[in-house]
Amino acid sequence: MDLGKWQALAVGVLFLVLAGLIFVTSDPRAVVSVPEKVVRETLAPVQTAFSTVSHWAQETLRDVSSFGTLRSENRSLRQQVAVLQSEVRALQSLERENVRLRQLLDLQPRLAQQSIAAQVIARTPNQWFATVTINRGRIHGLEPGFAVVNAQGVVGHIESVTGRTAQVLLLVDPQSAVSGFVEGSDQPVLIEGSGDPAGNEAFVRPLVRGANLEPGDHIVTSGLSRIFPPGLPVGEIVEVWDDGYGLERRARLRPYVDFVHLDWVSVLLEPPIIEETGEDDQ
Amino acid sequence: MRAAAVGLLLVLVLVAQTSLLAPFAIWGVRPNLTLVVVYAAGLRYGMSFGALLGLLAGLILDVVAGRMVGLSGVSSAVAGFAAGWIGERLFRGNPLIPVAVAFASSMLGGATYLLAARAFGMGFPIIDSVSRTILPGAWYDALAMAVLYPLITRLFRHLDVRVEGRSAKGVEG
Repeated sequence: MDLGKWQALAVGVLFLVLAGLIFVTSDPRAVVSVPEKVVRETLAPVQTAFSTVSHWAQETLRDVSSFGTLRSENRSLRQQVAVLQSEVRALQSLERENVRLRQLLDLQPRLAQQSIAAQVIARTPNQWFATVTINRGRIHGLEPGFAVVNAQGVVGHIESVTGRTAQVLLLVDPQSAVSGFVEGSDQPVLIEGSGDPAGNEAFVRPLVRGANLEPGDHIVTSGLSRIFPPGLPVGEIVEVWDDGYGLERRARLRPYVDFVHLDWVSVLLEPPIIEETGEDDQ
Repeated sequence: MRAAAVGLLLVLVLVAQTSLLAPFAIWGVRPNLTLVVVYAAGLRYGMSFGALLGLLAGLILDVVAGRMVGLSGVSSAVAGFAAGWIGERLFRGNPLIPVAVAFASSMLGGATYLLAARAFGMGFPIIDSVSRTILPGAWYDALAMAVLYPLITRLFRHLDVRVEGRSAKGVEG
């Protein structure tokens, strides 16, 4: 066999190996291979340093650009504080009422979940998937499947962990699916990632026939997936349409979380357990 | 020496790409600096080197991304090969050529990734993927190439001089 044939054979074998590798790794995996673990752990300290510089630069730029509007923003914020203070007083009164009603219904209060703060140190290097790496891992108590949130709402869940890092599958990843409810109506829906690189949209699929989705509806987690506790804000429906045959309704959702400027997140360290001690338990 | 230096450059660029470029995202798209290095290498050293370096860079990207490992390897190898192929046929002294090469290679690499991912069952929609991911990515890569190509070429030239110097010393010795 001459050199050309050997080269062709080598390229053929290489492509077969790569095809097998692509097939095996095409779905999100909780188990990380040794080479992946080594690469992620080795890069993590440098990525943390780079990412800290990047966040600092981003914040500084934002501060400088918003300097001119600070005065009017300050006035507006003072007015908002006054309004919010009165709302807080109303909420405190509602909470006291809630406690009394729970006691009447003999329900245990929702368990407060422990969480840990983590910094986003890297993003997926290609534009096709929506994952980020955070600087907390197995030694901090993280496991695949833990929920990741921030002040705005649902960020995603832990896909895989190494010792000091974890990969988070974001809500908008094309392979993400989260169960939710339309707030206030208890209509179950499935929230699926669209793969939009800007992270501005996800799709909503109703799980019951005749579901009435409307633009402006707020979607929250249902708690049925056992990853997210119920009631976490996910996003707002901005568009609703029927498929070509009128059999299925779909909706476009704008997530509350700004996925492009994600810097700090919270990982919920325990799966959501909401136990109700009703008559059955007594 | 050349391989080690280019490898080190790839790793540095990869770290910058994953952790430093978030503020520079336009519609969520960031430039793929690793591929920009591959295109520059393809233009300078030819299509075989471009394809090989593309394969290596793509595999590193895949290992970091952790999904469909090997697919970026294939698409980056195609893109690196294309950069070398175009570079061998066009006059490289024209400053617009590297920019055009980066745009065309990114489009080709992106299309390869999209089609192969669909073949492996990923439901990426074609029109949305082209308009939101491939096309903006190619523009951004071309822009990054315009800024970084002089720096990368200078580095390659420096490496070539050192490698040739060592070879000459070896022959004399």
